[in-house]
Formats: sequence, structure tokens, C-alpha cells
Amino acid sequence: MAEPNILLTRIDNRLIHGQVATQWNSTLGSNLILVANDEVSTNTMRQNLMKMAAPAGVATRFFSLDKTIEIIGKASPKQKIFIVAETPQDVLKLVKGGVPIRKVNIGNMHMAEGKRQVATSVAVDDSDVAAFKELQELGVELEIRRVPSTPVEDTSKLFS
Amino acid sequence: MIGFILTGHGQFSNGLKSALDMVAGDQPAFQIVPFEGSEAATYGDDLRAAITAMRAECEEGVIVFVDLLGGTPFNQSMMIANDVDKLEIVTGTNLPMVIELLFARNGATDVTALAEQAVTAGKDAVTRQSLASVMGAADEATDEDGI
Repeated sequence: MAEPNILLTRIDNRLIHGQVATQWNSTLGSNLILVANDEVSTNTMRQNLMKMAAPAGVATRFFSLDKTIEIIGKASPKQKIFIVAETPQDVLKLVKGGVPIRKVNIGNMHMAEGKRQVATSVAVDDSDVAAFKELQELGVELEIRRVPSTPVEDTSKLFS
Repeated sequence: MIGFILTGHGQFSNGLKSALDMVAGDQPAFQIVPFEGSEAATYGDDLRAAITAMRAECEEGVIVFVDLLGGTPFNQSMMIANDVDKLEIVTGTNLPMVIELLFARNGATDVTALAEQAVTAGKDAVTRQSLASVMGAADEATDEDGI
């Protein structure tokens, strides 16, 4: 079976919102936004709100991490997939489960207690850093960028 | 590229610009001209200078996005349009309108058609939503092919 056509995977703790729906999706030219998130996969209201945000003609799917791992191999070559996940730990689980993710865009990781701000819109704790390290070791390319028109920020900031 | 000028009462243009920066990032050929307080006296001249400079840069034309039909930013823009060709004025500017137009202007050469698209986008974005519209059961994926 052909490998699923995953254009990009983004870490964003707001999942599908203005930046994702209006900027990233248009720039990538994806026709399917796959939200891989356990909580949202069972929350109809959050799913419906995100469907409203998605541009016309772009399909949305809301799968748990396990379901994403199980089903991704069945994607059609016509499906140009943009995966959105909440945390680096979730992305690591997808990668370890066999989802062929080559590149991860790090968008919004909000500040919280126990986290430190390392880039304009990225705050991390030790667990996040460990997950990013492991992703890199697995050959996944990391990029810190809020929206397509803003410059890429230095990924080494994650590990400093 | 078709140039964009954003202007309005008080901090309308500053505020909308700050929202655009957050959603879409910094944009080329995009300038704001606030109409407020201490700058009110020179507003007409400032707006004319901004439009003229943008028009010199942008061969295909310029769209001026104003907040309110009939307000001073609108009136001043219309008077400037008397002297500047390929200048379109759009009123009732809102965030979704400008977000869509920032994409639509890529490769666009017809400033009038682009201004008409702004009106459609801005009107379509005004909706009423109720809780009922987000509480219903989610549709299952129906694609026969794929996931």
C-alpha cells in the first residue's frame, strides 16, 4: 500500500483555529485536516467548532491517537493530509505507532506552570524537551514557526 | 501586487492590524493610517501621502479598506480617489474580509474584481451561530476511498 500523503504535522495546543484554518491549510494545499487528539475524538462540540473553522472544501477528521495509528495506512493518495496534534508527546506516540511523519511544525505551546518560554509562542518543560529529542533521533525534522509568513525560529532553542 | 491601505476611526486600523499580525503574520504592501487624536489635523494629508506612495509601488492598483461608509476616513479616501487611478474603496472592513483578500491578491491584477471579492467575503463572514449548531452529532467520515 502506498504511504499516506502527510504534508505536514503541526503541534498546536489550540488545534484547528484561525492561524491553522486560514494560513497553514491554504499554504500547504491540504484537503484533509486530521486532528489526532484523544479528548477531541469524543467531544462533539469541540469537533463542530473546528469544522466551522475549516475552509470550504477541506475535510476534517477527529481521531484518537490509537485510531490515527490504526487507520492512517488506509488513506487514499488523493488525501493530502495535514495532521494537527496538541503536544510533542502525542506526536511521538504517533511516530512510534508507525505514522510516517517526516516534518513537525511547532506552532503554539502555551506557557503554563512548570514550563519555560523558549520561543515567541512556544513554552516547554522537561517532558516536552525529551519528546522533541526522541523525535529528532527518530529522524523527524522539527521547525518552530507560528504562521507561514513569519520566520522560522532556531530549533536549538528547544534544547537550551 | 495590489497594495492595501487600512484606515479608520481611533485605533480601528491599529487593532485590526494587530489581529492580522497574529493570524497571518506581517504582510508586504500593507499600511495602516489611523484617524485619531493628535494626528487628526494632518489625517487627510497623511492618508493622501500613504495612498500615493503605495500606488507608486503597486502598478496594479490599491484598495483602501475603511471602517465606516460616510465617515471621515471614507470621505477623505473618496476625495483622493478623484486624483488617483486604480484606487478602490471598500467600507465595513472586517477581519475575515482582509484575511481572505491577503490570499486573493496573490497573482491578482484586476483591482476592481478584487474589491468586489472583498465585499462578498466581508458579507459572508457575518453570521449568527447558536449552541444548537455545535451540539449536534458529528458526521462520520463518508469517503468510500481513504480515511
